[in-house]
Amino acid sequence: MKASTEDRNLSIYDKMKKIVEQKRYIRESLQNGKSLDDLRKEGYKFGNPIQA
Amino acid sequence: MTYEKKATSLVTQYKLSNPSEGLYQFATDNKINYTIIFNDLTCLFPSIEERGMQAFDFSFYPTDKTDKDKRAELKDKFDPKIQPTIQHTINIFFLERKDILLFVADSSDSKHGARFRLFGMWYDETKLKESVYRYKGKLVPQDKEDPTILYSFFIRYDIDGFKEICKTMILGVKELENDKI
Repeated sequence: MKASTEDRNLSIYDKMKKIVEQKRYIRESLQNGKSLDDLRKEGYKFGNPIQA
Repeated sequence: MTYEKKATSLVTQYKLSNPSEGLYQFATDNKINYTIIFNDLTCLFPSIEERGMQAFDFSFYPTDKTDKDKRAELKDKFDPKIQPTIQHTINIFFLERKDILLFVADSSDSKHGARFRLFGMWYDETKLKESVYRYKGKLVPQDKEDPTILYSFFIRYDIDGFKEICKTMILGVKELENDKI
């Protein structure tokens, strides 16, 4: 489910499908009490791109 | 109305906090907490990575899933501060960075069309249009059991290689006209 460099040759459809699946998994995990650090340990990457 | 109350009512957006690396949050007047996440998906787009840029998928949703019930109770109470909060966040992103922002509509509850239109409308209502290009695509699967996917990517016009990057993000996908889904 997790996107990786192995997926870079997928079609745009398959890449976007993967993103949707990943997005859903992250949302459900966070809403069920996991932390971002837990998800990082699973290999997901999150940016901190802006100064709040 | 006291001066303090008057001042509060003039606030047009919620204050964004960044309690931990990668996590952004805001709380609404109705005490619903929202999470904003920038999922780094650069690994999927080598042409972006090669340029030293990053690609993030943008998501936001209630932090606690039980807030869904709270939101249902409040369904008639439109919250005018959420839209400017999200618009402000996106604005800051493009002011501070020259990266790609993706918005892939979550289709798990079949509301992806509405979600996609709303996000597009929020972009249309900002000044971002002058400096940031939005591509909107509809991906129809070969297998009918798979979902149709609606996605947008946002990129600043002033980025070196703008056209080449756009090509790699499109690869033959037909652009939607007027958000017609």
